Amino acid sequence: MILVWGVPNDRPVAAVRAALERRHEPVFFLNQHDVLDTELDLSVNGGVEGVLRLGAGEVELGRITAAYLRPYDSVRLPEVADAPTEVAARAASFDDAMLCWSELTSARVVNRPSAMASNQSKPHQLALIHAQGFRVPETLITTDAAEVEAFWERHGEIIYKSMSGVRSIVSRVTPQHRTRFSRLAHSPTQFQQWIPGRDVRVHVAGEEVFACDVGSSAIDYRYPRNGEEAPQIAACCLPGELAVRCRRLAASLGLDLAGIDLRCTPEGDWYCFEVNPSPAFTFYAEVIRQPIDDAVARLLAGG
Amino acid sequence: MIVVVASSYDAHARSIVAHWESGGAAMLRAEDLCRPGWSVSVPRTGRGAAVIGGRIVKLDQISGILTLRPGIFAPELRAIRADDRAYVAAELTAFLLEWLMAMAQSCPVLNRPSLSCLAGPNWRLEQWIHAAARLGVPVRTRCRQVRKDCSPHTEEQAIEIISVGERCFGCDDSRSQSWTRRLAAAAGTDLLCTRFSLTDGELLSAHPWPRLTDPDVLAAVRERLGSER
Repeated sequence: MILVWGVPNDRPVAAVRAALERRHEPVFFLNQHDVLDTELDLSVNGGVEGVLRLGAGEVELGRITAAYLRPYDSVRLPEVADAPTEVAARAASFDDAMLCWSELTSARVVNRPSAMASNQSKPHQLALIHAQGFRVPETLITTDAAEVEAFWERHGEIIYKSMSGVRSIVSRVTPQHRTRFSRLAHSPTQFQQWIPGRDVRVHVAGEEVFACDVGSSAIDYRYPRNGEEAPQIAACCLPGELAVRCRRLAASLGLDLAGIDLRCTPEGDWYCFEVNPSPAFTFYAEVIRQPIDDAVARLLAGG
Repeated sequence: MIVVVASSYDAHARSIVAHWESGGAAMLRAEDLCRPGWSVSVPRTGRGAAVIGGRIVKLDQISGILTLRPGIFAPELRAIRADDRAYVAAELTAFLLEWLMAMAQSCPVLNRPSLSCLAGPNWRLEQWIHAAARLGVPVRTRCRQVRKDCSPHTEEQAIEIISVGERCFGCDDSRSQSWTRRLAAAAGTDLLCTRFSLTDGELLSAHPWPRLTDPDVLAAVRERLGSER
């Protein structure tokens, strides 16, 4: 039995469910919108046992051979957000119990929450990426305006972005920012040398690697300011050695499924910026018909 | 210098720093993260500067770090605009994680952070029980039910053991001490607190955040953090 946990209209969840159906795999879909009607019994010693009940259906946890997880925080779901405190607490308790199971089960979990946590500290993840032999942009985290000025002088062009898992728009530092440098003292801020080149998004699903070129003149292609900056996605091939390194990187982070952000400079140097442990791969795959959903389904099915 | 990473609202952490002050201990508070002077690089260079107890400190002046907080929490950031506190708390936690991980390469960090906690593994009780059982430690099976009508949890009488590296405190039972050390080693944590049933000796719970109130425990922690630089 393969467990899929998430909300039905989330595109990667829908794509993986559809791919599993095409393979006629047995699927237990744990719809988060039903969290208040779902029950879980979990029993742990040297083994992990229990039962998951949802409406008329139930599944013994021991029968789950693989799981694809893309849950939201249940307390933010509309069913729970306006509910009494004790209801929200129960939903949070359910999430926690499920996440606990996903850490302990011997089933393949795509991906375990503990592995996904590297994305909560981007500078630390960058250090891990560098340790795997990738070039990474030189990065400075500081509360000191003079340090930023020196870093900027050294690199010519620099950007700033968030360090945590909270999404932010990558922005280029311009002379106008100098008026805000005094605010740096309020919180350490992450600056990076600007790396020119073309963006390549790589998805690793087990042993399978998919790459696509993302053309955009935007600093952060996820947030184009106009139609001209909208990303143009095209399938591409990675040099063989780089594909192997991407697989190794994902494995080193404990990720069966990963979205890896690379950039190839005009000189042909490859830089790695970040690894997304819960990639919304459909954003890329739907445009160029890359069968990443099928690869995830194969991974879950053990094939 | 020994650095104690803690909240300025943590009275116990303040007392530890006061106890060690003659040996050059200082507290790294959230307020210190919001002062000019920090400089951290990736890739790691081993150079840089930190702000500890309001003073700018070179990294090679730090001989050991005791972490007493799992993360930075928004409510303590009173100097930050209320709407921004959650974001800044996440940023500060992300920053501290990399700083502590980098420092762990050059000095003892108790407990070394994990990806989801600044002070040791962020395991749930079930994960400790599971790890202990796999090491051969007798455990009390942990049952968790998430239902509309959950029964209340009852406390059982237990002995408590605190391990600091190889040393154990709290109870002289050598078997329980040995199990505690093995579990701490398996979890990769220097500090661990375990509770074993008085009735049958089974492991009831474990966590890597022992209360450091016993002077002997505190002395062992200080010793493990190394000599003054």
